[in-house]
Amino acid sequence: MTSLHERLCNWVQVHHLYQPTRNGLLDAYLRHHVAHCHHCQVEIQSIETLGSSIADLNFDLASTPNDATWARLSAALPPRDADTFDTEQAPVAVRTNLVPRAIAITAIACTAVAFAAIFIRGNRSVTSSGVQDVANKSMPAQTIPADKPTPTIAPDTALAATREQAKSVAMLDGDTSDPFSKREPVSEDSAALPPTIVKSPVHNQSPGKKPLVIATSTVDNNAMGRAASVSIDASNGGLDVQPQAAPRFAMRTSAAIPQSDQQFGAENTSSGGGGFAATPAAYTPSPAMELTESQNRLRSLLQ
Amino acid sequence: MNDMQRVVVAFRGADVALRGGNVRKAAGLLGDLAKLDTNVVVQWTAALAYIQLRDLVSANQFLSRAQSATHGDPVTMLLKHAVQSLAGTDATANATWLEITRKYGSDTGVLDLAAPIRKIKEYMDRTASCSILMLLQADLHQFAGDPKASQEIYRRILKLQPEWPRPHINYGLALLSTGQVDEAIRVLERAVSLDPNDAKAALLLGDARMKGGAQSERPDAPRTKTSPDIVVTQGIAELKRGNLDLARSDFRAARTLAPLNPAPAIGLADVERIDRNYAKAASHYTDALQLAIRGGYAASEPAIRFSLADVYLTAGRFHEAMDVLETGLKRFPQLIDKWNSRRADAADGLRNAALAEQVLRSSLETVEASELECAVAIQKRGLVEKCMVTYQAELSRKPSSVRKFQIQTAIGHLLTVLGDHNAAYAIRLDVAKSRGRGIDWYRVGTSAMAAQKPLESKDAFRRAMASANLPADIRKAITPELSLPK
Repeated sequence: MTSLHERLCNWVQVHHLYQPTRNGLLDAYLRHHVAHCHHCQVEIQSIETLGSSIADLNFDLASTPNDATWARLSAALPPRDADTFDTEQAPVAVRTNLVPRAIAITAIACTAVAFAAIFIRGNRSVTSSGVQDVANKSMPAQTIPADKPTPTIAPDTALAATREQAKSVAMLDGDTSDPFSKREPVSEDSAALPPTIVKSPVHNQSPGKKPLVIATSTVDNNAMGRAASVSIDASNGGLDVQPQAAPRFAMRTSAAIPQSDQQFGAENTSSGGGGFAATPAAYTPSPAMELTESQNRLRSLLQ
Repeated sequence: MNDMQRVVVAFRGADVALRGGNVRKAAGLLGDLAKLDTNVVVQWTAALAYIQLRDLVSANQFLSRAQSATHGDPVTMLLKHAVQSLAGTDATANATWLEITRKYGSDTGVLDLAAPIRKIKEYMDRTASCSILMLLQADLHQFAGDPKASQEIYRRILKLQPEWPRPHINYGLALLSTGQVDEAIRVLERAVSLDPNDAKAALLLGDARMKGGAQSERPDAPRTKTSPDIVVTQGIAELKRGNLDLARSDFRAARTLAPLNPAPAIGLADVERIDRNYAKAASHYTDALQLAIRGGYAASEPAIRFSLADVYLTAGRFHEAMDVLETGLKRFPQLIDKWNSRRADAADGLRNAALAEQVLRSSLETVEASELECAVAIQKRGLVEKCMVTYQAELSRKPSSVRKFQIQTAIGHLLTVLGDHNAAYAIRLDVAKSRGRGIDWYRVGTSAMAAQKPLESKDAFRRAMASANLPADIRKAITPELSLPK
């Protein structure tokens, strides 16, 4: 059965969010849907920072970059001008009849209750062997007989409440999709993808919180023009706006970073050329292929 | 019967046999003639006839006689290459091809076959001609990069031998090489109808249809184990249809069949590139590059290098991209603009703006064909003003005349990109008056035209046309401008 975490993860990926750490996923989801509309300009300006920083990643890593890499990436991003949480100076809310902070706290609380309910129900539904756990006496060790089928967990009211709560949060941005529903096949038409948005790390008001990076996976080809203009702006003193911004550069379209977050060398297991990384559209062989084939044809002229 | 009469009789007999679809009889007649006549042209003709018959042993015998008569000539080597390829000895065939290109290859990638073509023509004028010899003549024109001449001869053969599939196939190939896709499809359809079992005809027809836009067309030829070309073409068809897994398996099969051919490796690389498996794509392009260098696919090497560099650039591996591009620049310096535009991208990726500027300026000052492309790249990076200041400073130091013209020309390009056509016209006119090359006057003409100076433009174009060394494509572009009424 797909876990809540995995379903959330899928949902976030469908909506082109990026998860900096797994633990921060729900947090990322909430923050995005409460706050992302307020900082579009900042995000657009910071896209190239992420684009440049991607080049710094060690592509030899076989798996997802570790937290240290992401921390370095986060540090390279310009800081947010304003926090959307715990501040009265947040930009004027799109939804004046709802309090983001209250919703966020409520949603987190409900999720916590849901997890607790699942955990407790899971404990109750298995047969205890009666052997006491030495390390944790309040929770007896459990064993499941091999010949006994694993009991199924009944629908949880707390989970349903969390679901409803999360849906209500999602609808704040006018997004009625359900993060808990099964993932539908996503159109691979790149034209339908949203423009690239990169969120700068949020300044956390409370200590102990990690800076958060939320990024979409799409790089707009038109970003080249933007990058050039930003670069000019920076040379004219715009660096004050983004003191940590890396040097921008414009690239040829063929050399643009693709929309996939897949790393160099990552195996693409999608079948039939579909999946996230490729679209089932018509492709043209490279000029190298055309030239080689024409040479092969010529060589076989006398045969 | 004297020698000439014997030749005429044999040639006519071969033509009659071909008309009846009897290639074996035609080859037999020509083989009998070649045993009596030591002329090398007759040996070539008999060898080609036996190659058509797939009697490689007999073909080799005539090629040995030709070899002993000429002590090495390109036609014998080309025919030997065909025999070796048909025999499946790819390594030997590759070695022969490398020797051909080393001895008779030119800078433009075509073979220098003027001497044997002349020899064949003289023989035909003096003695007699037959369809198989004409086919050899047409094929040699094709190897020599003269598709017009080859197409003309193919058409003559088709009139003589309308039922013989081979000239249809080669004519279709010649048409494809000049982009006459519709006509090629028509001719190749005829070839397939004449011999539905001919895999090569079916392959080329599939090729032609794909080029004609029918991307879903898959060659109808059966998957024969001896034809990697067909498998590659099928892979390309699947690639075009977006069936990457099928394309991948086709290219893998082709690689097994023809391990020395770079085409399957390029196909695999294309698939992985589209599928965004950049490490695999880079690996396959590297394999293809090595095979192309070893196999004498000189025309493909730059294109493979560009693809490899693009993959590296896309994946953010700028050091590797730079290595590939710098080697390419050393091996093919005439493509400096293309290498340098990518080198500038790699330099940008490496945060080396100075290097990016340097390579772009290098192209801007030295390349004549893509000067505006370089200027646009400089403008995109916001380097125009900086370049202008540098150029002005260099001009104030009174450089050599060659360098001065280079700088002035570069300034002209930058002014053109900036849209200051009057200033560009002035500086280009200065260069043209001093240096007076055709391309200088052509640039003056384009600037004058952009600056709404039609009289000056026409005058400049006339001066450009008067220059003997004006490139043909520019001459072609100017011609309609001069024919316009005042």
